Amino acid sequence: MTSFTALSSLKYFHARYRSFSVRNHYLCREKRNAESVIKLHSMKKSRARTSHPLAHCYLAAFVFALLVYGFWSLLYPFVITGREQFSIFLWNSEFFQQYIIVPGGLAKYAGDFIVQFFYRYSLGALLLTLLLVAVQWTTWLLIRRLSAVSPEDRRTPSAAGFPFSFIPSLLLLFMLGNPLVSITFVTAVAMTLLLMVMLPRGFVRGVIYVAVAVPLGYWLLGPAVVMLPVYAAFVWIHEGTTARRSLIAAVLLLILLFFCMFLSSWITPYPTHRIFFGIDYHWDFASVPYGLLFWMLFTALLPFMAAKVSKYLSGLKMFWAVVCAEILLGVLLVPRGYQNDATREMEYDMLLGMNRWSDIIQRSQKQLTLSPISSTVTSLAQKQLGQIPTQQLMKEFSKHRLDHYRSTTLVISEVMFRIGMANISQRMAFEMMEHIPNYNKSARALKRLAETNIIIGEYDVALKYISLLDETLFYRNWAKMLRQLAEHPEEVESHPLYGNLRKMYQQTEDYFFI
Amino acid sequence: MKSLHIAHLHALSLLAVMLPVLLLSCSSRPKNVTLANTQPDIYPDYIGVTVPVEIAPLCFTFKDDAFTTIDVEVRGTRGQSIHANGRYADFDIDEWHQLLKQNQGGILTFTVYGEKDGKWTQFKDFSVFVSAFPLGQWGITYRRIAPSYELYSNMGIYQRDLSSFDESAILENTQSTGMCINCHTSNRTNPDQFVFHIRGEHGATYIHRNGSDELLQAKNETLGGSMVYPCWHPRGRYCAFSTNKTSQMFHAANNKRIEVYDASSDVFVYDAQTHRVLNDTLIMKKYWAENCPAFSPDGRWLYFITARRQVYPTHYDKERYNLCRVSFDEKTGKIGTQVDTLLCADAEGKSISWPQPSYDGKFLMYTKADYGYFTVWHPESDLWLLDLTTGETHPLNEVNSDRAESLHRWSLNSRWFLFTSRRENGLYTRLYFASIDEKGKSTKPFLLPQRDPKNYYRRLLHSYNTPDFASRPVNLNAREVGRLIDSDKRVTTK
Repeated sequence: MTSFTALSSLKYFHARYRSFSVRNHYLCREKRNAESVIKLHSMKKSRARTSHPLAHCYLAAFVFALLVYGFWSLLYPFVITGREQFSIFLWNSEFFQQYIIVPGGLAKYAGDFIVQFFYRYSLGALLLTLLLVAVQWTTWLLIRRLSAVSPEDRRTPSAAGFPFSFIPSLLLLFMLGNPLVSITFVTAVAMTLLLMVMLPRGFVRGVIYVAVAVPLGYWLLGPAVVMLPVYAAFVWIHEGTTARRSLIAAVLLLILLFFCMFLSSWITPYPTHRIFFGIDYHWDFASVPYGLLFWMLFTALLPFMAAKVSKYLSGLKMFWAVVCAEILLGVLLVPRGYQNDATREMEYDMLLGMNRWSDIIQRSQKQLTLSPISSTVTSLAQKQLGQIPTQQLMKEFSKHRLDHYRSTTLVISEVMFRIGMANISQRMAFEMMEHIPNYNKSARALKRLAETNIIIGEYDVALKYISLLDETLFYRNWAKMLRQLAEHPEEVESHPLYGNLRKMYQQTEDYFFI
Repeated sequence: MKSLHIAHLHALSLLAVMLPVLLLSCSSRPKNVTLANTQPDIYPDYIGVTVPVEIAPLCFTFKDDAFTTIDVEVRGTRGQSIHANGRYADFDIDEWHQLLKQNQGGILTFTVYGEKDGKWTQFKDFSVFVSAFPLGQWGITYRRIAPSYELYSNMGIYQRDLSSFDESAILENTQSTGMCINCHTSNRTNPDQFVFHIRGEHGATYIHRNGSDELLQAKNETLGGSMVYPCWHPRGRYCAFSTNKTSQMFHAANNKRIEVYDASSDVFVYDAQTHRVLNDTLIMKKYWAENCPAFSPDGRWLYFITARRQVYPTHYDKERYNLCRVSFDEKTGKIGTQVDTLLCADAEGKSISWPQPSYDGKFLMYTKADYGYFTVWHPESDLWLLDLTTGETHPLNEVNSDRAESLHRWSLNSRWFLFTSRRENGLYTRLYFASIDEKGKSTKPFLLPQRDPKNYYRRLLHSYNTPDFASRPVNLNAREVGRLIDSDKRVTTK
């Protein structure tokens, strides 16, 4: 890090020397009126106050990445694995084609591509961290552009606005505690921010760029591209175009976007409100996603606001003070976004998957009241530790109506699977998959369905699910193993897991569960 | 000279790009062929089927994934031949139609070669018969839905052109949040008049008739339930419905999944002109469950099934339905005074459901199962035929399998029928077609053709449900319908 800092410092001072020479040359060539000279002089002075080595920006981003990664991999890994069960990613062209035929399809494809890696929570945490860092860094590039007032500002920018670039990522980190906020939204805004960074210089070129990027970006990324014309307006004003001209262009481009949205409501099978708020951004389709709308508006305006405020922040001390304040606020506020029933269920689900029975019981003791799902999982843990018999577990399970178990996780299917109730496990897995709000299919649910069908003796159905899992990244090896059983049913009886579960299933007396 | 040099460079670079593509796209051809003494084991099984002249190409491949290439030569007894080679037999649509047109009433002979582990095998030829009777229908409509328990994800009503592979959505449930769509039923395959139901928060019965659209209230106080299974009167003014309080029970074991039963059900006739519900105690008996209404093609009879209501869940397997009919006078809208029992469940020892008279009035097709009426969940459910002239019945052994057959419909010329079957894997319902002659003998059924059928059906996590023929494409403004459904605008039935 020391040598890296030293090298960065050398480069910085070299660039400063060069920029000084170029600036002199620039002054001689350009016609400057008195106002420009004064402005340049005051910029020079403020620049001396506000410029920071870029190394500090890298360091701050690295610290942020470490904290985010640690947050997910150490504190909330179950949120990562919990999300994985809401999707499946198949490596074939037809799968891609299904996505691309609706607005926002590419963002959803990218989102589901990333989510498949949530199968291993450390990998999922890493990818999600990289995504948030990408959002942060592109936000910084947008702030930087609006902070620059001269060519040398562009070449050796001030890092005064850098701390503000963390805010959108921190907000996303908070919002992702709600499982209804999809990863599609994160990929959509990340790619939109990239489009914003690529906005070319010059008003005419910029307008042409946005006029092309808006309809194309809308179809690929969804309504998140609304941020592009908003940001573009600020850029054009900042770079010398009149406010009137810039605003008229931005408004016309926004009208173009709304026209695209309106047109797509005629050709896609979605109601207008889902088109306007993003088909797959937020999974509560009955309500307006105010949080997401606020985020998009805020992030579009942030570069302008940050560029203005950063003039008054100078010095490394102020830089790190703002960064530390953001870290502190993040530590205090972000976990609050993860205190909800859905994430609690995910935690039980993960502990159950790892056979951490004592941890489950300890966890349940910390809760004042237990939901039907939590109490059933706790009963299973007690049963596994020999504290209660299976009948008591079934009694606990039967206390509640099955619709109380309409969980967003496979946790109840897992419980029933463990005690040989293959039919109920199968139903819970199927219902869970049909209950996914955006109509995704679930690789994990398909795995459970394949298993239960093998136990029950429906090998053809099992093979159907296995052939789908063959086309996934993380389930294909497992599918290969299970295919052997489905194609050679005589081997099921002697299998240590499925053979025993089949015996339990065959000994179960049939009854109806409503 | 310079420009010629540049043109050469362009051509060469184009060739450099195209050549790998061309090479890769060329499949291998049969050579050093070994003769096999068996017919090929193909998917779908089109060996010996009878097809109508309009049908889309019967694309197929080997069941065994180890075969990498299939090469198929098809020759018609009345001339012409076509060829396909690749991962699956992908016939050109136009060439296929020309071949079938040339050989209507004749036989197509398929010569199949397969490549496995680099070795080619030629199998015994098989035949496909091209019926002299055309299908006479543009296509089909159906619902696609996962074979789920109580919850459902994406689903919709779709239509498919039977002469090609084109499928389009009529209405999908994404159009209105949380919507379930069901029972799309047209009048004698005419899409100018159809009905379907919407369940969920904005439930309604949607009726398209005489160019206008109406959404009827989902429930009616006098009926005590929703309007469920519909059947149009041939003249189009009336529509028979059942009204059902449907429940499900789920098996904990016993290799079964679901039992569907009705806590109560009745049949009534709806007058679409006056919005009146025509009740009659003959078809709404207190301790009996009437269900599955169907008008005769001349509109003079209303067929339905009826069973004495049982106690659930203990006697769920005791409910057996009889097949009955009652007269109907379309002039007065009155139901007759006497119910005829055509098939008695007690005598049969089985339960009858889903009566569908043929449009020529000669036959009535129905399903027979051990008990109940929701035969899609009954593996023993089979298709049977009742000769309405002689009263004789016989199973359609040519189309039945050891898994559930159900939800059958006739083509308008009564020479073809379609039905759903779970023969593939016992869970996912697929659509089959078969021809039937004037004596009631059917032919081996064939699966709804798809391009790349193996991958298509393997990946499809939907079942086909409530299918019917369509004489023309259905023209529905899905966006407008979605808005109507979301609105509170409903017509009250009296």
